[in-house]
Amino acid sequence: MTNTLADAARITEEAKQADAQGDSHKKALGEDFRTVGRIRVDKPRMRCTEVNVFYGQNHAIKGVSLDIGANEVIAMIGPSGCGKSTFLRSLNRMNDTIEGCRIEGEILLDDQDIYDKKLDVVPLRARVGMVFQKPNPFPKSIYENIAYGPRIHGIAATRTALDEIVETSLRKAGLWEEVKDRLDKPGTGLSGGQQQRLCIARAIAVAPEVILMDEPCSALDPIATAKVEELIDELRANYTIAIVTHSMQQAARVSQRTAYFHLGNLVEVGNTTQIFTNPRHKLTEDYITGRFG
Amino acid sequence: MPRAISRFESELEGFRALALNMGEVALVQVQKAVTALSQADVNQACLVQTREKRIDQFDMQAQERAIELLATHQPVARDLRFIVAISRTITDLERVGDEAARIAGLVVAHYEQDGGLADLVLFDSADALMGEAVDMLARSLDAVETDDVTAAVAVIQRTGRLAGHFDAAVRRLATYVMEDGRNIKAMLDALIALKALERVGAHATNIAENVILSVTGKDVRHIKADHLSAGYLGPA
Repeated sequence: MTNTLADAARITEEAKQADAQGDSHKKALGEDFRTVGRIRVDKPRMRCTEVNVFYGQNHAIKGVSLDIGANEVIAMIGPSGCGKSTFLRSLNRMNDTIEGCRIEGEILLDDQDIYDKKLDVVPLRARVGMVFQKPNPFPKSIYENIAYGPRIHGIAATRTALDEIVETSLRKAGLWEEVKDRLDKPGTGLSGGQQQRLCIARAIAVAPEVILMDEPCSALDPIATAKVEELIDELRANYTIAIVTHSMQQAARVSQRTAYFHLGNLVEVGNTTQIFTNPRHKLTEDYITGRFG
Repeated sequence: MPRAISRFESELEGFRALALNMGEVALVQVQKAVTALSQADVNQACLVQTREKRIDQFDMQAQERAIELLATHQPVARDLRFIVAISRTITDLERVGDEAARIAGLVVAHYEQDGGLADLVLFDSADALMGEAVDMLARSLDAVETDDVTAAVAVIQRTGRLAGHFDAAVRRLATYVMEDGRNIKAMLDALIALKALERVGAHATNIAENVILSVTGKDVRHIKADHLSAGYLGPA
């Protein structure tokens, strides 16, 4: 089975399991369910309207509308199979690689429809970068891990310009001091936390507007996690970040807005402090307090 | 979330029980102090002073427990509000204990030294204030026990009446001084005791406000009592 088919099968299976346990929650959502909280912001970097995602017959995302504001960190939380990762992957068309996946609705990046048939997905994925759950550096040197993207996107014209991008990206990712003397060593030789920051540096190198992070710290120890979280906070000054996390504390620490997904629905979105001190929807409260299910 | 939720819930209930036990002791302390004051009972006042340590022990134990719960469970939403609200309530109850001890101390100082039962007249018109403060405290503890927002609102709405009783008692004290200037020392002691009673009522109001924060997530500390309506406290 190919990776993409395995992805589709896993996501479908998770959604089925969530459906199986979710009858009472469906009642809680109700037939005329509408997202609780303010889905729109004043300066959206991305604007999603009535987004539906299907994996074959499985309706994984159900009419989700949500803005992702400029220079904000938005956390997406929810139980396994709720659709948060699917939604995140829709934001840079990563779902295109999954067989049988179909998307309806509209997702705008700076007023441009990212599902426009004329749009080339390669530059889109440079503008909307992604950092995955498990650090996945290329089996190349630290330098090449960073330089690869700018080179193929034609961002750096000269070797000096490329050197500068490599250094700047590693500095922004807080990794420069740790690796500056071994740039020619393999990226895979770094510790897990360093590898993840290398992946973040790699995403930054192509000057993205938005960085998507899918559980970026789940494979890291608490110290490496703290470094990545600190980095996320610093990156916010220049980038918009959407992060999927299973850690409630992480969502509370790093984000300004939080979106709670459940059975493919966006149940509630709001200011992170409000979500974690006084959520308005019972499903949100039950999930974040651990009383879910 | 991977958490032994039933264990956590029982720990939260244990924390509430701790506050309620402390509340019961604090309430009895105030009642005994008031009795000592109204009956010039120095022995009773001495007992109140001795039992003050018990309240302090409760305070230490409860604050330690709050830190443990926060550190081990990292609560959010209603669990977090509950722990914050109970912690604040513990602080208020500790202060209630202080007020009871203050009244007891005045009784001891005033009657033991002077033996002047005649001064009782200074307090006999303060019954309404005493009754109001003690009952507000009892009702606020009931609200803590049952998470009863309606009962909490009712306590808060008695604030005006409490202030009225206090003002009336102070006016009567002023009259005594005007009648006989030699009453000034006794009047000042009586004023401190009346203020302590008024503070007990104020702490009861705080406790009721904590219940509202815990249950609804609304911080009503700076909302006027007559603005508290079902509509205001309804779903956000």
